[in-house]
Amino acid sequence: MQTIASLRKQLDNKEVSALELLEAALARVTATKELNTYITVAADHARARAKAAQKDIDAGRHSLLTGIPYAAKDEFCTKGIETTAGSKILQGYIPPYSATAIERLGDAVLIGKTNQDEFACGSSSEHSAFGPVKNPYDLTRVPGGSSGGSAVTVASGDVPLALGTDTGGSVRLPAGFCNVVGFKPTYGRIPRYGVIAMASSLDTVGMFTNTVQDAALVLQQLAGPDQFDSTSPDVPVDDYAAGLQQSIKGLKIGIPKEYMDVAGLDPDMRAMVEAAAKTLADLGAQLVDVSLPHTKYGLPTYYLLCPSEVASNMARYDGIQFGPRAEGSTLDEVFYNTRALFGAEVKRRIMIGTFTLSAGYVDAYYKKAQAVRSLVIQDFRNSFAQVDVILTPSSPTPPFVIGDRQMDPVAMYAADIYTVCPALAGIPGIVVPGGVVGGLPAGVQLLAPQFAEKRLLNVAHQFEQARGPIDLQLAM
Amino acid sequence: MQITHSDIEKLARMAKLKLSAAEMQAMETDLGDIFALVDQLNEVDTSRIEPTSQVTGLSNVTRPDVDNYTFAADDMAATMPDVTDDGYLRVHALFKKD
Repeated sequence: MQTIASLRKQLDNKEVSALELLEAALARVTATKELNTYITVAADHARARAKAAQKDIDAGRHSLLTGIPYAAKDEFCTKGIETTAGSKILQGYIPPYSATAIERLGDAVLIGKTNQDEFACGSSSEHSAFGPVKNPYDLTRVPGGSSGGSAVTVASGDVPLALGTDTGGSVRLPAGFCNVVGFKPTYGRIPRYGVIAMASSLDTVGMFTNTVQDAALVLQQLAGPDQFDSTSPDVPVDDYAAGLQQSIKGLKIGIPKEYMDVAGLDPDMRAMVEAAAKTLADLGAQLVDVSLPHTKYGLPTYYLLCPSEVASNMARYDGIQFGPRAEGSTLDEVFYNTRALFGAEVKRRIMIGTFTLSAGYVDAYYKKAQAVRSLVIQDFRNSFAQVDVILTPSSPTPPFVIGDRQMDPVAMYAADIYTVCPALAGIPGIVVPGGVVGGLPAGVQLLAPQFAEKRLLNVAHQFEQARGPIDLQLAM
Repeated sequence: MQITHSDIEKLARMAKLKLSAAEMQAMETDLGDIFALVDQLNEVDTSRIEPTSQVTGLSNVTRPDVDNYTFAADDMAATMPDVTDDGYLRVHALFKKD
């Protein structure tokens, strides 16, 4: 299992070169093609970057991420490299700039763009225009979504870091399904400039790593305001790695009863979360029962607000300024024929959002959901007045079988029950491998108040260290 | 909320989506199911609750009104489907000559 920390040592000690690391990553990706992890592998680009990074390492003028191979979800604009957001409507689109998150990773080596649900609309990575992604622990099962490819590329051992986006759980859910760490910071903590918009009041840049420490190191590089993103608050960036070793004795861990009482929660998943709670208690933390009374309204709120914002954000895809332009004898025909390139789930969300934002319905639907969002935020505020972090399952079930839920939107949405409320509140959440359920990966989720990433990473790291190794074998 | 066939047609027109007969049928079923989910929100009394549109608490975030593009006009033109020789985006006419 690679970590950024260990690869940095190997590079600095000249045990391996940046090019060798890259070639190993590319070879592994090729060997595991069946997982359908990547939409674009940017081998030539990466080789040039690796060579440049090695020059810097040799000259002693490098930093933490110099030469480290990584991947980015195809939702991130990458200058000169095709960016599709998993959709045919952006096939062939080559951005003239890179997202801020990509720029801030500096001379790390981007190896390619990972596969995903189209425009991040999904929880399983089955709604990609380029075929589904497979779970590396069981090829018949989903890796979760929408950032499935990014979760898989880290889980499968290609690279130690992959960027994803989390709008309703799209980093946290796949992390739990793929036995990796998935981190969604506070909304706005990492700038969204250059991230193809899905639901703008919810979209958050997140990442996949093998360890909590790596997530802390990467957050350090990515966090901070950006003149190109007016929703990135000017809140000081903590020294996240420095706080990891702190003892959590006396820290209060909230267990929300509404989360543990969800009818669809697999009993073995529940037992695994209870074991995680005990691990934290053994470290000296205090377990406290808390209540998040509006939990059951999280899914309806999210699946009303999200498609509304999606419908608005998808309006730009009309074949006029960028991307493929379909034939048509009138402007209107160009619009209709180009937008026929959207997949089924994106079309569904556009239709819902068109309805909920239309005159006569916007008050009863969109504004209503915004008010319930206020209540969800209040629930967390009230709980965090009593506890320091909250512990929950990451998913009600282990990874499901490919195809099982693809035709049933509401069954698919149900996978997000534990991830949507934190998303609505814009609070940071991290999923860490918790154990094995039915031979499959199972994660636990930890939540903290806005901008309390240092505390969150501390607790997650302490749990990870105390939990010990997870007994799972990759399928390939 | 019951979604009818005529609702679907109207929404598709508003969203500029061309749906086949099969897609229309599926959309009626799926949207019906999804609205059954979101209609649960009617159980919540929000009469005295302020809506939240965004969670940062920021407002009126401004920057100086200067050109801060990080890429050249040519880079942009390269992403356009149909460009004239002098770098203009070509589109179908909106207005007809009478």
